[in-house]
Amino acid sequence: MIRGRTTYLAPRDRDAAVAAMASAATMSVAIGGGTMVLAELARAAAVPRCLVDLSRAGLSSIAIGPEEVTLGAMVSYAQLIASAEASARLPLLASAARGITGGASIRGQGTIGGSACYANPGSDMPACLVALDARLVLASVAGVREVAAADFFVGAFATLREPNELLLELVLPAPAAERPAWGYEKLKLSEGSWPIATAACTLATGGAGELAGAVVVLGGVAATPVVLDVTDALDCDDASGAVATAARVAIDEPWDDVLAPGAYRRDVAGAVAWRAVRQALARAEGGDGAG
Amino acid sequence: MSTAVRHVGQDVRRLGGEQFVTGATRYVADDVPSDAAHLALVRSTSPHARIVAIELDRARSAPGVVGAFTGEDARRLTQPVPHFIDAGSRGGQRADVWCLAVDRVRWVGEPVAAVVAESRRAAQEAADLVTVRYDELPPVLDVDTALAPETPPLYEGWTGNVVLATRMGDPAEQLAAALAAAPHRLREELRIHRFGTAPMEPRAYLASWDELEEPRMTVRATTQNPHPLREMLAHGLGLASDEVRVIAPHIGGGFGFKMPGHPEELLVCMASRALGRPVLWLEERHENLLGGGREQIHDFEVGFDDDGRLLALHDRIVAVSGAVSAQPGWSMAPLSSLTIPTGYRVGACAIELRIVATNKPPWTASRGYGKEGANLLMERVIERVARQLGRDSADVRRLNFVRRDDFPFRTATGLNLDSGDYHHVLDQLLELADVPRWRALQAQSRRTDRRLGVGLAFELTPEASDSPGMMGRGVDSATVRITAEGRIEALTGVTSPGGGNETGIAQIVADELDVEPEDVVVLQGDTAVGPFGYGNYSGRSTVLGGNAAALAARELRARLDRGAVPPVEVTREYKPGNTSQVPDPRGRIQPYPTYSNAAFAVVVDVDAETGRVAVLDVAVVHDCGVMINPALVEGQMRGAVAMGLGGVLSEETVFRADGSLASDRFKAYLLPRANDLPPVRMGHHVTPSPFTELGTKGAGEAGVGGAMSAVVNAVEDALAPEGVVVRSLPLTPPAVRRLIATSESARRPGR
Repeated sequence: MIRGRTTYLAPRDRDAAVAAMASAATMSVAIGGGTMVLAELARAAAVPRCLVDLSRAGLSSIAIGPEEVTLGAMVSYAQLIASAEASARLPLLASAARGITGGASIRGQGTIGGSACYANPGSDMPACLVALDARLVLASVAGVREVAAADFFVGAFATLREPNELLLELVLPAPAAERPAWGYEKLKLSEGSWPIATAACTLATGGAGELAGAVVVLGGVAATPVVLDVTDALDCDDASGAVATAARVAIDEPWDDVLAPGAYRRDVAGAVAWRAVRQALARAEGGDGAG
Repeated sequence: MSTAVRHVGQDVRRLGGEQFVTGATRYVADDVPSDAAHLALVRSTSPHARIVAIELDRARSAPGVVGAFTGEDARRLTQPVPHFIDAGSRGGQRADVWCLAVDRVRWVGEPVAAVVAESRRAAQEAADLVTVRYDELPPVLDVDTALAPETPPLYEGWTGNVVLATRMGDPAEQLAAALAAAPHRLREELRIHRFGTAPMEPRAYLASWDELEEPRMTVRATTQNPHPLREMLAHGLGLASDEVRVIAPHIGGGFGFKMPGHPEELLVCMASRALGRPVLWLEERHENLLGGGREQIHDFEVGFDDDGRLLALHDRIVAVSGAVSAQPGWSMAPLSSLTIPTGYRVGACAIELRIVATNKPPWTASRGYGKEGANLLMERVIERVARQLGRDSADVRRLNFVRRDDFPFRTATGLNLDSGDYHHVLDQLLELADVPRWRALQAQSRRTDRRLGVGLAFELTPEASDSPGMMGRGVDSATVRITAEGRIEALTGVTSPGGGNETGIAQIVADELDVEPEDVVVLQGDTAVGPFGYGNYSGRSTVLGGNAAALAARELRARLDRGAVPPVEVTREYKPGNTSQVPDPRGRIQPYPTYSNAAFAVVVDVDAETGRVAVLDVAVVHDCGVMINPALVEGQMRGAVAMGLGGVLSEETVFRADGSLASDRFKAYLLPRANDLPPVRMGHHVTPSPFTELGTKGAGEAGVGGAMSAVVNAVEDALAPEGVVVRSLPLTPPAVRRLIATSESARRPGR
């Protein structure tokens, strides 16, 4: 049951949206698709003073440039999947979007930017955005700034976004000429479960096509995404063991909630990480990654 | 003159089914009068405390508020909520339950106060303004604390915290001798967790008091049992039965959860009478998920011979039923005892049961009704014995099954198994499941990370209960009439929770009257319209209501054939054979007329690295006697299998350390979704019941325990190379990883 008195604002453009956030800075909540916040309101986990609904603010464009793809804060998972060009340039993100829990209704409603700002440890987007070196463009009446995804997530449900700031867009480096190999693996307890552990792997190749670097970003296993450089681990005889060990060691304080204890997340992080790496290696060799 | 059977046995499409799939069905919340006030609850935040003070003034002066109530009002305006099954009547310890807590709270979520307002939102906002001061008492949140001698009883006048202790089965000396003489013995524990039913539609109660109308109290309720609810409300309100009318419209799933005894039923009536206007309460999902049930700890010892013959079985069950409730949740546990040893012949068998109260929410009745615990226990026993001897568990089942020629067969606990061919059902299952093909795949998979496992289970389901000391009986009635205009109506005391028994009843009546099922209007669920009956539970609706309708329609047909001119109306009561409430010399009664049986084969793929279990295949062969409508029977079985798979793999009612509910939404209480469930492949074998008019048996509860058992056995089979033995449920990925880790470390000393 939604309760309390909440002001509802539906700004018609970007400037109005920024102004709305400023005017209602305390206890205001911006909603993209509302898939998290409306459920919170319904169970009275949140009673914001002001709801800023961004659905009419004109933030849902996808811009494809030679070096980057820019996603408006209101781009939904379904919109990304439906854009052949954006999906081709951001295959890892598109793959994660296709696997969002909740089916077509959530993928059509939920936004990538909203998920980033909500910063639920048990969600796909934070670690994906870190893995893709995304930059988040934040605006307030004082101006616009960019924050790297690697810096943006500072805790469970906590980001560098100030209460009066609005996420305008996500900038994702995706040079048209380069197609780095990638892998994305997600572990859920069941279809309806939030992600328990995710791994996004990207491989960088040198001029001759040789492996120049391998990074895995783990999600779900800690309050914020965990970045692992596994380049050296892949040189080991027991690469899977080395990756798994690196993953376990990198998790200082595993995330713990009603779905799964922290010990379990740490326990499985290595296997999940290795599966993402295996997919990426297969793609690097021209496979489809499914092996 | 008899007519041809044209409709019974056919997959007649569900009558009126389109209204469900198009959203046209009217539920309680869809028909609310404009002058209705809305009730919101203040629930206890403490697991165990004395109520020092309840501050209602701020709520009373909040906008739109028309009334506020506490336990003091409940004591003044009502009687305690009548128990659907009273523990006192079964030789246990009873306690009064008021519709709002009086003096003391005993679980987080217990209704403490109620606020009624012009809108649901105003009521909720005002309820948030109520403050309750508690004097905290030591909470009893686990069974060990509950049973510790130094723990004070949770209820006044009680000795300890055992609600009911029973012993069933063969005499102690006989059991001891059989165990002592057995060449092999095995003693182990099996822990079953708490989980519930989560019907799609939460509960809703609308009470309308009108001093000048007759009846004065009209209640629209999500209930499976309109007449029992009417009796309970009349008693609680100090009214005569005929002053209360209960209407149960279509409900979106019952599963036992919507049986009466919930405090909110009486509460809305109390508020409506006090305020003189209709009062509605709509349950929220977090409230709906509070209950659950089924939590049991079995400590079993089995004696067997070299071939796997079961010579002795001793099971000690502790059922952890939470706080006392008037809803028939706690009373599921005795059915676990009673149903053991299911369809197996055991030399000597005895079960000791203790039902233990704690400061957790009370159990709510849940499909399977304790029988799932019995079937899990027996299928674990069979599997463990087979593993111990290195034998095929199917052979061990065959060796111990009650044989076709043994029926009727009296079990150690007194059940009189009616009929069946368990060997045939198992053989038919093995053919359907194609186990050899899966075994070949399993052999290949063991060379990789994948772990395929095949699990079998047999399930016996006593249904259509006729037990003493409760608000329901093993009898029901139906009225069949033909009006002057030629309209054919069938009115039954049984109701449909959404499973479609009204279609089956229309088929039965249509055959008797030689008309089409669409020509029969089935009316259920209104105490002012239908004949007296006990509603829906225990797989009884078609067994009792269907057979009663057959008898009434047959009599109607006979009168028409003799020249009667419409309108003609016949009401018949029906009670199947095979039950007895008169204790035999050993004190055993026989409360179930029918015993359906089924065999299950489940194939799982266990991801050993993550513990995730994927179900690849489910095959079921079911014998519930004569099927009125096989498609609807299969629908029941598919739903029950889904409930069992969810229960064993992902659903768990989880509490925080302070006794509050952690699994309070569907992101924390994980129901299976379509992608978690493989198609359920079904076969049937038909052994008509010799004790029912149409040869039918119950078909509503079978499947929960069978599916759970087969999954457990399949996971254990998959992880046989790791030496895993399953001793507790659920088998969530973290639990499976723990199993693997503990069995591996156990096999590698020094690690």
